[in-house]
Amino acid sequence: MKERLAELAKNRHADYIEIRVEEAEGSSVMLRGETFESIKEGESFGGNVRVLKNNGWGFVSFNTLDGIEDKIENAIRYAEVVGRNSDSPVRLAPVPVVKADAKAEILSDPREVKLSRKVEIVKEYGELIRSQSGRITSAVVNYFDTFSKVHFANSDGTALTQEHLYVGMACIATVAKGSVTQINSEVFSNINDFNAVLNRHDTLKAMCRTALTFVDAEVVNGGTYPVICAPLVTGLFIHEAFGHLSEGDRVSKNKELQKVMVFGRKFAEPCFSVFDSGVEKGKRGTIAYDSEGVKTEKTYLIKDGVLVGRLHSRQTAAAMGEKPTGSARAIEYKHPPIPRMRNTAVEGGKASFDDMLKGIKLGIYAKRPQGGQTGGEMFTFNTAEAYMIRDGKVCEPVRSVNLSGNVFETLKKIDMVGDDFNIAPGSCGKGPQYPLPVGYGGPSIRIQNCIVGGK
Amino acid sequence: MSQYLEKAMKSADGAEAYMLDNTQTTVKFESGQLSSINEDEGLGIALRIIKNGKMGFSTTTRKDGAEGLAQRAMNTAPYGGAADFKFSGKAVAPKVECFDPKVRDFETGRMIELGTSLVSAIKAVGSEIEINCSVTKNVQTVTVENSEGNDAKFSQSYFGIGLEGKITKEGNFVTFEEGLSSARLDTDCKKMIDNIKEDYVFCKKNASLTSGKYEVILEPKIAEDLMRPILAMCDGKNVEKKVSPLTTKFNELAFDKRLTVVDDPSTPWMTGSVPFDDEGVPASRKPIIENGVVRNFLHNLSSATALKMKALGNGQRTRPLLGGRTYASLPSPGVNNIIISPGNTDSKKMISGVKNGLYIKMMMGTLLGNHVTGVVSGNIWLGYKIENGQIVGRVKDCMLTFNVMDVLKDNLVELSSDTIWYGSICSPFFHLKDIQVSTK
Repeated sequence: MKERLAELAKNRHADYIEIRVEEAEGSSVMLRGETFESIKEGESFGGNVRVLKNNGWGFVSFNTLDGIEDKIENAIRYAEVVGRNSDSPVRLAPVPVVKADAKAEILSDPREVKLSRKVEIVKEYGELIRSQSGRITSAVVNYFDTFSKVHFANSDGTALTQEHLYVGMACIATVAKGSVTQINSEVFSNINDFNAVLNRHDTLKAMCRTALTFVDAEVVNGGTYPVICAPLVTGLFIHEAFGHLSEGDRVSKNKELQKVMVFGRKFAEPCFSVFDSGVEKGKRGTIAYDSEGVKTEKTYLIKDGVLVGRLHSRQTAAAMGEKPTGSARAIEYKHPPIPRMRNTAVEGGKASFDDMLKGIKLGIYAKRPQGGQTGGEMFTFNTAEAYMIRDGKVCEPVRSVNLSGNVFETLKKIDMVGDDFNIAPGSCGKGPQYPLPVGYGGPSIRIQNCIVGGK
Repeated sequence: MSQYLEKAMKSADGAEAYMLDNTQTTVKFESGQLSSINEDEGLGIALRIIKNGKMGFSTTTRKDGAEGLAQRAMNTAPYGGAADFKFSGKAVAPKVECFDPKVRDFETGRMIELGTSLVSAIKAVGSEIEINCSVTKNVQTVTVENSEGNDAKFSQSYFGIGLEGKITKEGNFVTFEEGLSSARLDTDCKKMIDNIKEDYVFCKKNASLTSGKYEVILEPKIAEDLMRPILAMCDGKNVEKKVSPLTTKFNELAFDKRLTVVDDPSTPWMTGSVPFDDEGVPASRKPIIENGVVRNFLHNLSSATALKMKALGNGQRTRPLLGGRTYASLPSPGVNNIIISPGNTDSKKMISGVKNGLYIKMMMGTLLGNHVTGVVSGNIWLGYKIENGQIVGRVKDCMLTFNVMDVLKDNLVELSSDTIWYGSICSPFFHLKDIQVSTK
């Protein structure tokens, strides 16, 4: 297929053309309570043509290769129209030509596992969650796997087929007490190993215990506190607070933002570094090549407190005179690639958890996150598990802890970086391109004077 | 009968084939410049089958994928849930104005002109505003055919303009978001431009705020955030599973008597105007909340059957979180067009009557959280301080948390007499009291 696409991409009257075709298959099993709400097997076939001509982009997506010549000509025509109506130059940073077959390195393949086995595991976990307590009002177990082959060729000569496997499970326990509802979840997801969803009984029992504990907890008093973030909370914070700001398309066309996001500028203390990497083995955000056929890498965003990098597509790299980072990702064939995150994490440090607790008279330990969002310089996210810290000790659980703040101010208030580390699986949204598989994580960190919403 | 249903009926006891045809053109502007024209021609097919009393489900985007589609659905059926409802029967389609050929025929050149003039108008408001804008035309054709003899089919057009204006000054980022959407060709951007003019002036000054309880005026755009938990609580699936606080409140007073929320798919030309839902059930107008009383839950065929209620055209196949129709999801209860009844006070008078409060236009983070509990929690992304009836400046770094079960029962001061349509929701301004705001 990639050879056919390479032929189609040749000798066109355009400055640049790329053609992508995706073939995907997958299964999902969703159990809510005792009912299988959905057991699905799906497949899809689709592709797109993206053309750059005279500084204009044209893009056509489709579900059949029938009439592909017309689709290519349409994309070229659209690019011409845009080029005529725009006076903004568009260049693409040069990258090596790639001819490769990037196979997924699979440890245990979900395609070789019978649907009945997947259903059995989901049923077992559902029964386990429901059996933990009569107070558990809802147990949801959601298994999914998708395997896709993405064939890509462009007018530079790149011809690439890349395989992607995503497999995992999300388990949610809900406990209700009067008008109070507590939800806790566990997600196990990776890019190579079906077996990683097995033997999760102890984790799920702990998840239920947490939900049962927190439904009885008091709502936190809103205000400003020192907060210790456990690794997953650190990861969500850095993803929302800084990861999106590091995406090249946000910066490359915004002169004012470029004045803020200047390389060499101090954003945090020297103990603090952040990277975004496409090469972390087995992690959900890992890919061999991005959606423009560029090899991925580990990109430092902040090193020793100082801004040193951002995440680029070929276009945004050229616009800023910086190097491409293999960060252009299209969630699927209906969308063009745009700068996105891969696995975004704060780098591990040296402080122990006990060091962080010392000196906190009244604070919060945010142990598990529950979704977040960002808008420019503001970030916000919820926690599923948080505790008060009193006089240097982790104390009672508290509910409805919602952390929010100004990114730039909050980064400066990180005064300690822990010696633990973890990268968790996540899903990221940017415009209509949701849910993009990503990883997020880091060590525990301590933030002074964080705004906490509550009662 | 389509090949998809035909193939499925060779081995299934019952089947439903759902076909979604999509044609879309989007003209995009980035940083005020035309950047791309994107076209999508897509097809998605979903098959539900019943075999031995159980439900199977599969999807494909291959036009010639009928064989595989049937096979995969049969594969999943032995493990599926009990097929405890019947597929929809053939019904007369209500006449709903939801397809405008002018949308389909609107030329790309005219879309570019429209976007270009909108960008110029916003640039004239403030030259430092970074403008991203998109103009989209879309036609979807939905076909539902099943073994009960139904063959519902309709086309729905969509015309939308989305605008994002950003001001990036260190220590003072502002984002304005405005939009226009309709099933018919509507190119009048005056309201969007006037809103941005107003916000641009208001944002020139920042106002300080201390944590506490405040009177709050919510602009109709926030209705989406208020309705999200109410609709989750009225979701038939949540009622069936008894996780909704409204499970035991059917036909009972649960909110302020002034609150009336109606789902009306027959409203002409709005983005939720449809004759059928995604299960081929005729879509009809129904009150969800009427004078504070819970009147209807929202159902797909499964929840309606389980609760012995009528399915009234709320079975929707939507993309999780993003919304919008998709072939890839099973039908779940949703809403078509929401109309919230107005009150008696003009919104300008409402604002001028507030001594010390907030006027909020946009929130961030409200998509998160467990909506069925009624909680609304997020950051005030665009909001202003009101002092003695005047807007004195923008508030920043503030969080708002409340539960609609409480505030729409006990904290509603008044609703405005004027209403605004945003997307598929028509809402008045809400004036609430004693709302907790946290700030640094």
